[in-house]
Amino acid sequence: MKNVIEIKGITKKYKNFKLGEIQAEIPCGFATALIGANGAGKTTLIDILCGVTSKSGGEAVYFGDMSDIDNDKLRNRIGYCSSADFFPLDWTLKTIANSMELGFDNFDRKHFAELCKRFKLGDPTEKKQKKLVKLSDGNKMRTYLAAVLARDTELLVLDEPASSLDPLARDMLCDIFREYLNERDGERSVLFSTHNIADMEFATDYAIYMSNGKVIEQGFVEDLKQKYILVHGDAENGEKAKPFMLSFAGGHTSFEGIALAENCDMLREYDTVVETPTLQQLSVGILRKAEEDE
Amino acid sequence: MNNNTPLTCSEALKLYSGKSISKMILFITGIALGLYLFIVLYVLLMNGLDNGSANSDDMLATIMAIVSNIFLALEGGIITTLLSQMTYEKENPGGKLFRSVKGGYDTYIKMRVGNLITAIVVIFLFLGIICAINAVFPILMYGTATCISMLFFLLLNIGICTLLSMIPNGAIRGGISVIVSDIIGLIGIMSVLITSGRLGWIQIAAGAAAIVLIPISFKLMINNYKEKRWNS
Repeated sequence: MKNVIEIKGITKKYKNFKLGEIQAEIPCGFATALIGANGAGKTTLIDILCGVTSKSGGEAVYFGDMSDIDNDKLRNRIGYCSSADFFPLDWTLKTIANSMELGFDNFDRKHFAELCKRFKLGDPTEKKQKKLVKLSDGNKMRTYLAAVLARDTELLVLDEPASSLDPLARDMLCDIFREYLNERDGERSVLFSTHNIADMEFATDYAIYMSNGKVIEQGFVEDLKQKYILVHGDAENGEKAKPFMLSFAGGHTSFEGIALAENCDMLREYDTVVETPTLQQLSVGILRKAEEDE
Repeated sequence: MNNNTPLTCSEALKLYSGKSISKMILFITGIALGLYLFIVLYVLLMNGLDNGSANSDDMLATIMAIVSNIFLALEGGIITTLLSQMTYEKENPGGKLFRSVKGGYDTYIKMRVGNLITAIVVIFLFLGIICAINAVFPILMYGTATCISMLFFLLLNIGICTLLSMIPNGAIRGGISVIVSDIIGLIGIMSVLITSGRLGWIQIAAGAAAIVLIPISFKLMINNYKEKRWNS
């Protein structure tokens, strides 16, 4: 399996926060979700990988043999976009097209216009245009996506792309990911951070879980769904099942949580129902366990 | 534009601000001139309305000239402050985009060079036009000398503001820069008023200091920004 990025012991120290050491692999040809609570270090890691923030230690290897993120050839292969104010607020679609064309060698103005039309943002060639400051958060994010997708890249890195989108737009975002990956099957990859896991489940092939600056779990979603099980049962059996579970949430009548699949037989003995978890359930279980361990 | 050629200073400035050097020069000079002439005209009209009661023609001319001179100092200071304070922090809108574009920090340096060129040309243009207007409609006291003095002091101000742009806190940086710029501008004006319009060693000293300080402060700022603020 080829990796688009191999993260080898990346660290970053701030006054009140430490990231890493991060060891992770982002597989080539798939959509990888960076999942974690607020403040887990997702944005810091993405910023480091895209050369926006410097790292304190470690290295990242891109596309098998590139490690200098300041190299323009590498920068041109990565389409990066943050969620908050990626462009100055007084810019219009036309200004964005002009600047993107200057800032990247592979920006296609015509493709940008097509994407703007598809996202119902207007025509970048029109004389009268709205400034970004006048757009809703959702339309701002659509504009950022149109700009980054108008570049001919091999890796899309998006920080919280779904956070300001409505459900329909999130669905469209999943479709966009699929289109992007399928356009050059196996050659393109997507890395995005999110805490809207439920809405992005369809778009996620591989998941990396982060908590308190560390990677706590990673793997293909299908593998993780085999590694973990969702367990629920009556409250009276909760205390017996609890020692075998990674995360546990109990009420007066029932309990639910995530356990390792290897404990499945043991848990069934306590009249529990075992199911394959959704990515959302899996994520809640894994992140809750990490929170309890801290 | 699918090429791999490095950006020019003008293109780097356009990437960051949406305006090339020539457009930026015209834009800022236009605003500066418009604002200056508006204030002068406003003061003229206000005094004109009061003229019948107390003010004589001489007094009106003196008030006009003093206000015009002082406002020239203040506005010149503000222009140089604004241009030298365009630091594009990572946390500000667009900050992350600018750190991910081709050339990275080299492009940032080019943008700052473009900004510096803009500031210098704007000062020359602004003061040159004011001087020309003054030749036809005298609005300044010791017009030509004032403009020449202001030119030297505002160039010095560019160097000082570039140094001040190394202050990490945006609010403190902006506040101090405006105060310092206005003081420098007023010294530029006062030095001409005190000597009754004669230019002397103080203007020469300001000009010489500017020639030395601008490149040194720029080099210091570029090194400091890379180390402490570019992608920390």
